[in-house]
Amino acid sequence: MLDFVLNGQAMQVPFPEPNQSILNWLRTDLGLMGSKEGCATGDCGACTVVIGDIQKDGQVRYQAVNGCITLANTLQGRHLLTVEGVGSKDTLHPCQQVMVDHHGTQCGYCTPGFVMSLFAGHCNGLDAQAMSAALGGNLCRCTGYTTIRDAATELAAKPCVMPFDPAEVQGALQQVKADSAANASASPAFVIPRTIEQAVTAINRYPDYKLVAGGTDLLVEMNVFHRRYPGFIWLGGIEGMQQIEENAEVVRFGAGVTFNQLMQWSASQSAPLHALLDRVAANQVRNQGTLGGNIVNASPVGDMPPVLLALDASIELTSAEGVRQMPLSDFFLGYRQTALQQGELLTAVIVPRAALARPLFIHKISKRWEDDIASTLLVLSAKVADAGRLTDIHIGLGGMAAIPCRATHTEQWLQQADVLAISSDELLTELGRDVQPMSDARASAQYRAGVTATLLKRGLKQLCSEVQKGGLSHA
Amino acid sequence: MRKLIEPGMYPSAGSSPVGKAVTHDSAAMQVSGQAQYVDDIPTVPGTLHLVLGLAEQADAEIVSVDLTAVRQSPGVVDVITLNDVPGHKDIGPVFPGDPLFADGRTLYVGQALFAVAATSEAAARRALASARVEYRAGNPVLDPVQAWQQGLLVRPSHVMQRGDASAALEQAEVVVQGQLDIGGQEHFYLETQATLAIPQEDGSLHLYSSTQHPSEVQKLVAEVVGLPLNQVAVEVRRLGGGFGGKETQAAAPACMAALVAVRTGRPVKIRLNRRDDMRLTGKRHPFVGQFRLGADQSGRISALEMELIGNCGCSPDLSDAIVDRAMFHADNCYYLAHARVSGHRAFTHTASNTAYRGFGGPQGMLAIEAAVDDLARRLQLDPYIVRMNNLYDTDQRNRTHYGQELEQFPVAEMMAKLAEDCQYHQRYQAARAFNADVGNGPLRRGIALTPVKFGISFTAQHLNQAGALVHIYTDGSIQVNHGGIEMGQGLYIKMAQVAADAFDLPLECIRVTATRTDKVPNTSPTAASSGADMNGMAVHDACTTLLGRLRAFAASEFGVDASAISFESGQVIVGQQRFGFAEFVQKAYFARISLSATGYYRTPLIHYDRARAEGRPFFYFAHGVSCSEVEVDIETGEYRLCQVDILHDVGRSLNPAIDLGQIEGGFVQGLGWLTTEELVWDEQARLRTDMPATYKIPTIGDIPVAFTTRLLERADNPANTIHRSKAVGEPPFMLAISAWCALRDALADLAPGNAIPLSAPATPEAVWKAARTLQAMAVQAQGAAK
Ligand SMILES: Cc1cc2nc3c(=O)[nH]c(=O)nc-3n(C[C@H](O)[C@H](O)[C@H](O)COP(=O)(O)OP(=O)(O)OC[C@H]3O[C@@H](n4cnc5c(N)ncnc54)[C@H](O)[C@@H]3O)c2cc1C
Ligand code: FES
Ligand code: FES
Repeated sequence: MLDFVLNGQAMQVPFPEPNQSILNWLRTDLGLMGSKEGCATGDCGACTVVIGDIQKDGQVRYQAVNGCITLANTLQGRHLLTVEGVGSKDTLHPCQQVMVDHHGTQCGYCTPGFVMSLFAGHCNGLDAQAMSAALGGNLCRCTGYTTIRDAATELAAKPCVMPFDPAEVQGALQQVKADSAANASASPAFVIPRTIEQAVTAINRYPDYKLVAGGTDLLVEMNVFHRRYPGFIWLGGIEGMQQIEENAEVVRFGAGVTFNQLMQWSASQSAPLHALLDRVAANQVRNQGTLGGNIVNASPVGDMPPVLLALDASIELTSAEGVRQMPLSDFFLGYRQTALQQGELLTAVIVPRAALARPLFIHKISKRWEDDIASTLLVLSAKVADAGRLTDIHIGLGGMAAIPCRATHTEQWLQQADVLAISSDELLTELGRDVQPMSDARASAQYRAGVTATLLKRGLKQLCSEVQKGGLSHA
Repeated sequence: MRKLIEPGMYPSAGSSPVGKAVTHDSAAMQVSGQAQYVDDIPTVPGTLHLVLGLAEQADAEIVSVDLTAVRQSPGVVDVITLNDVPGHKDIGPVFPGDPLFADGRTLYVGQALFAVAATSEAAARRALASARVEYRAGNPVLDPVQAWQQGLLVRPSHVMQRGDASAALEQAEVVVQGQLDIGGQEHFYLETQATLAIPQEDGSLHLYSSTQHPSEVQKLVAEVVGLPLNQVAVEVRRLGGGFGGKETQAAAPACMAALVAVRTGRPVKIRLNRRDDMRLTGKRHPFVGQFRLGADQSGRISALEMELIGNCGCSPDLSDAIVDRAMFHADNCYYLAHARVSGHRAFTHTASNTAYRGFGGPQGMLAIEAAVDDLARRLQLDPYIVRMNNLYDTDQRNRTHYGQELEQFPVAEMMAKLAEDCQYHQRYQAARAFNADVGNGPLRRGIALTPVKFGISFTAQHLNQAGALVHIYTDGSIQVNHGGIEMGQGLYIKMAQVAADAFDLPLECIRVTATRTDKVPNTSPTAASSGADMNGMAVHDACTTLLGRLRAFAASEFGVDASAISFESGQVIVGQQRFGFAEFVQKAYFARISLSATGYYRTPLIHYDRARAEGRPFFYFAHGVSCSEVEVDIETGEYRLCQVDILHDVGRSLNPAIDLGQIEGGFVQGLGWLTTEELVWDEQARLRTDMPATYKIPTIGDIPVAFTTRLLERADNPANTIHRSKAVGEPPFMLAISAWCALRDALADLAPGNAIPLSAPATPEAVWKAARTLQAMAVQAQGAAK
């Protein structure tokens, strides 16, 4: 049985079919129709629900996620809050009332999703600006957002009220945790390992089960191509894989670290990385999507690999045979092909401090500013020598080839060059020796190549002269 | 009824709710997830779920379709193709061309080949995978200009002209000539197409459909399954967005569901998933506009020649009227002494393009705005001045190129007012200074203030009619029904306001119920911004009838003169006596007065002779002006919208809150059309942007905080509309043209004197390309000067 809390109420229900998303399960099995499907690919936010997790300190932390790309069985031992649990039409919660008062609904199909994003922002104490920013993953085709932004602004000034008894929920979650520790009853088709060792054992025991972390790539694929698996091994229960550990030489990111965790970390560590993460997907996906998933998915347009490549990252792969490390650059073999072997788990990403200490320039180009995949991504990391010269030049590229890669030829060429005197045409030629981009729905090859050369020139100049000019700030 | 409810006294209504910023009637249900859409309606066990098998190739001969394995797949109950349609196989709304399923040859990638009904959606999808379809590849046509030149048209071309444009162009001091590619647009209503069809005890059908045109769904379903119209009822409470995309496009899924319901005797639900919806259904027409615009050195326009080539996709659908509306709006706000506007309806192997907010108007308007912008650039004038200089007036320059006289034209004042309020002139100069400052590196600023004039009425005259049904119950509560569809635009609350005002009752006494073809029959689509105008008048008419009956009853019952009877603040005043409304209604009931009435409205005065392309197709015009400022990075093409100011004319607003919502929502939707929303087809005619991962509508972060919208004060409607309000659904969409023109303005200083080579949508890539072209031109010009 699935043990969880639904809208403040402890529940025990038969396990959902393993392939079922939360959204599908809510609508077809539980008859809760408030959450809507606008896309089933994580893009529109109409399915947004809030999940509460009990923390070490006993507090429950709430996060908005897309119900359409989250597997229902991940709810084991968690608190699921849906729009129905926030308030009914006669007892509206403040996050609903502000939407009514500011005329933030028109057709209303997007509305439950907005309400849930607002709720999560509200109980996490976001200010007005952060609250609006957290709505980047909620599409509304009717309102033009102005009224919703006004609603968010008013909500941010109000005290947070929980529409359930927090102590009761806390107690219920603790109880489930204790119970499941005692008898580890999980769905046979949905394995939730708590340690890396358990995960490795599970992989060997169930070779046909699919590994899933945040699910933000996997479920999109499942939903679009109607792909089904006999079972899953969900990595979300492995706390040991969700840590960021630092020492004098390296920073070690667990593969289960989410984009939002990274964002928090980078806030004090790296402004360029933080700014990039702000444009990776949107809040709901950032709450779930993991660093490991981004790497193993091996998409040529994933945002983290080019950064990590430019930062000399290596990765740690764990299997029953033990742990092996390799430079990330050896991991990507071809289009969506990696060096990951059957039975292996990506467990950590290791970045040398020395690389993090180098000045960093990152620029992502996409059609839409928020929540869009890169047409091209340029990452430049280099040391500034005296006289405006750069050494140790690392260029990471996304969207430019079948795999995320470094522009090794151009890097070498630049070691010899006077970087401030180079034209973008020269860079275009040199980059052309490294990569030949493609044309697709996001951008033409010509634009990709041209704009990347321009950005490289801009990056070189910026790192050299420390001029922080150029480029738009979208705030 | 033997005994009636105790008549309670309603609280006094105070003043009329008309003109008040009343909240949307569904708001509380929507924020709590209680508002029901088709997919949320509880279904009985046994309900079947329908999914579609879509064509993978365009213009391909279907050599064979083997569905044996599909039929044998677990859970599958029925599979249908075109051969299984007992009645009409073509559901074209006006002209034939839309077979319910592909007929021998595919028209486009994404066309429906067959439908699978199974006990669950998952089972139906699983079954789909085992279909075997063999194609013989064809030669899909994708370029509308090429199609037009080869005579591949879905409907004949049409010309509107006045004077002698070509002679005037000969004589013009300045002629700008250009071609503008205008992208299409996916509706991206958040709720995809959906229908639940439930067979009734007598073999009739009840459909819940997410459609803007229930009467047409009723008619097409009846024709497809072979039933008379009185055996098919269609009910619609609300849509999760329509925008024109559910005017004709809801019909096919509804017909398929109805057919399977008839065949199996079981309820059938179809709800397209996003990708299927984006592949199956038509979109806003991409257009190509070719123009020659003649003017004098001061920028005063003398003549326009324009070819508007609409990419209609694979069938006529509504394209005749859509291209006509583009032609009607090829003047926007500018007086054209000599004009020749031709409209062409090109065939391509893509989904049949269809109604979308503005219905061709935006495309025609964008073409003329591009031409005017080009003219201003050529003359190196502030485009504002050129626009101002060419506006219509209500005096001499007051007749459109199709012969309609403007009775009212507040645009010059509105432009001046907005320019002053938002400091357009200062900011225009500031942008020039910013762009001249090398310290700003690759950044450029641009600003534009553009007007909109939009004609209100269906151009198909017979659609300009509406019906309503109003019941008064014996407790004094009132139920209102009408033929319009609530799709978020606040139609129901506006109708409640109209009814409450008529009886002078509080809004709480009025309930507007789901739109159903068995309550108000033979309705027009809720489209052309006409919903509140027409249904409002029909509701008003029904209320007037009821009030008339109640007055007559009061006069005879109490022997007072009709002038001594009034309905005020929830009371009925009869001479010296006062009754609560409910109390009075009960008296009327006992006196056997009918408390239910229908209402009807047909728009007066409109007429149009298409053969001569002359007349008064529009009852009146709605107007708006907007100003946008942008900042562009010319090295990457990225940009940011910094500030938006809008002044819009809604006549005497029925509900300012609802109207503001329409204006801002319309602007942002238009912004998407002109910036990030790009439809990309590959050479095999496959739509590559068929998911929100690749098709990008605006998000909250695209909208500047500095966004000010005002309704025109002391506005009026010269036409006798409901409370002298104006339609507001479509006109604001075109306000976004100012943002597109602002992007052009940001590039203008790169090569002064040149037209800006920027089409639509202005994606970052398109802006980058335009900037590079201009920079190359500037270099060339410098070289030539040396
Ligand atoms: C709306 C939306 C927007 C997005 N925008 C962006 C964006 O802007 N930039 C971007 O880079 N990405 C984006 N993504 C993609 C996605 O969010 C990221 O790639 C994310 O990092 C995937 O992580 P995950 O944990 O969700 O992976 P999952 O979906 O759980 O897994 C992806 C794949 O990796 C495997 N896997 C996961 N973890 C491990 C592990 N530790 N060891 C071995 N195998 C593993 C899984 O088996 C699966 O095959 C977006 C996705 C969505 C839905
Ligand atoms: S349904 Fe669109 S994000 Fe889930
Ligand atoms: S209100 Fe219709 S999509 Fe937001």
